[in-house]
Amino acid sequence: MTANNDFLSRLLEYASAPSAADALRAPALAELRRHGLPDSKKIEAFKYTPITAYYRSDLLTSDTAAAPRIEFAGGRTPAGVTITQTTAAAIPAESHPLARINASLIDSVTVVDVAAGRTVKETLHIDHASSGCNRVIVRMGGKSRMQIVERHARVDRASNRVIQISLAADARLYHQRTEYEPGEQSAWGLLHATLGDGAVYDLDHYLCGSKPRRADIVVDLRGRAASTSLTAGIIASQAHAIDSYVTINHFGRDTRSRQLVHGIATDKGQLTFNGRIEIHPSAGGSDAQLTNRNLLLMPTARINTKPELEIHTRDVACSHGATVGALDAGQLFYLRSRGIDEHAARSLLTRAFLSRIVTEAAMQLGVETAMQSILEL
Amino acid sequence: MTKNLLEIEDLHASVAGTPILKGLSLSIPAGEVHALMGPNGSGKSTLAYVLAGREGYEVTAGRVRIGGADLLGLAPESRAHLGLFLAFQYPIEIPGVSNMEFLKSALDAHHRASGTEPLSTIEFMKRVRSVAADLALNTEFLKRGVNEGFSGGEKKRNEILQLLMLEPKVAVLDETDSGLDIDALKVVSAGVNRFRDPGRATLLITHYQRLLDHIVPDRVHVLSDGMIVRSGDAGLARELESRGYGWLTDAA
Repeated sequence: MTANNDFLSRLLEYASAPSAADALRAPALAELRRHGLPDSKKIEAFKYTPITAYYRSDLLTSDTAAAPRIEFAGGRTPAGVTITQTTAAAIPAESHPLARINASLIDSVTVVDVAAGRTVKETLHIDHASSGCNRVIVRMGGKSRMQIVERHARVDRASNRVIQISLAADARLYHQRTEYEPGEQSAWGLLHATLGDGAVYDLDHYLCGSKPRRADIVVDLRGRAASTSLTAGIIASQAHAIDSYVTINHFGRDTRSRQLVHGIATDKGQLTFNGRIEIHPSAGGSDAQLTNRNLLLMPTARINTKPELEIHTRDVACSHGATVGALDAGQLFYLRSRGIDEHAARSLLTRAFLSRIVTEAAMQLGVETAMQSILEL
Repeated sequence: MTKNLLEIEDLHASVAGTPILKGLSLSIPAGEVHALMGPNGSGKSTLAYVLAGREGYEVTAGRVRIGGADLLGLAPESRAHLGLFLAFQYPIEIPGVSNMEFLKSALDAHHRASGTEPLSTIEFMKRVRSVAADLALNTEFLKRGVNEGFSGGEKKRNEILQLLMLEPKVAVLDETDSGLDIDALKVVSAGVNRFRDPGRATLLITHYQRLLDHIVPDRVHVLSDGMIVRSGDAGLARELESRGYGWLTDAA
């Protein structure tokens, strides 16, 4: 019996025990029974860090279900917003095998609803204070607006988290997600956003490696003229691995996506970025851009980058590019010729590389400082 | 007796295995400005990079002293701490590092190296504003990335700003006049003339006489095929302007 089959049988046994969340778990369990769990060799998307690294038996413990703390700044939930912890929600299915594990182990779902037309001024904080499995659903009504700051705490054992976001027509959401507390355990997360007509979703994502960490992000631009931007900073240091796997699906006409992703790998860190853009036949007039720049600070580190562009229609504007390089020798020499020592010069240039993906909103929340401290700049 | 601030003795250097400097000797006493002229490919910029310690420029023989201390073999930053400054022919753009941060880091590094008290942020700002104003540089530019999107003239003025802020003992200006219009040339020349001081030495590397109308050198040297082939007073530069380099380089 292979390791993943062993994990699967223990998972099925564990998750089948009667629980208040039976109804919630049932569909995912049925899917797991039908499809099983894939082997790492079979999945191109898990080429660098095998999917089996996330089949962790410490997910199968009684305290695995760990709902995040979700509250607004100031502690009061503003009018037009409801936050519910439920076992009854019909959760949108995710076909990702790790999401099936998630759905079969959670004991509740946290659902945030924002009423149509509502502009929420307070920031919604989502704090994943402990490891384990959880699921959050955010539903933004038509023309509503909100901002979310989501933090993932230090990983002391395996974690598996899913957040599903839907934006109705003309809704706008700013989402800042940080997953940079270094950990020694495997962490997997899926963020799946679905956008209606004219909806706008801006994600600032900052993450560093673990042993290992994988972040799957899927944005479906369903509605006409829906628009998304992703600004991301990814760090792989020590002996950590980080896989960031982004898929932007353009389904609606005149949809727009922008991605700016900067990666830094140092020590024995292993960084993988896969940025996939798919322009479906229905998405004429779409405009997609992906810029991925990577900085390899030491030859012992590794960077794998793979931008993918799949276009099934004419009349689109797409561009994508990825670079991997060391610090610029000319810039280093210029700084040193002014008396700045090599260590300080390298640090200045690395900070400069990072600063280009730290948005103003993220800067205010100390993201830049936190990332600099991970890199000991 | 005049003290030589810069002493270059029989310097030989190669780039990618090709000898470029072939026994160059040149000394500049304190207080003097010397011009180094010569045709393209004579080794002028190679000398500048060799002095500053750029990777890939290999010294095969000779010695260089700044204020009596050996320069070669030191890291680029240590050469700067010793009192050497190179104004680059092509200043480097560094997006994401502001001019302000860059200048402050450089100045602090010099203070640390010399064991002197660094300037407070307020003193630093006051000084950088005043020097920038003299060079007709808008203080807005201090917030921009180092040389990022600067015009050719702005880049050269930024080199002079750094020169005046860092106050080295020996300044080597590599074709600081190239790409400047006449107004920018006047501003840059005024900056270099301000730098002139009995305790400092300057080497102006230039291709044209034009700069020397504004900064009158004490001595002019002609470099050809990696060696100084003629030295003279400011009159030599004017002679080169009318006769070209052929009469010197052919003789060599």
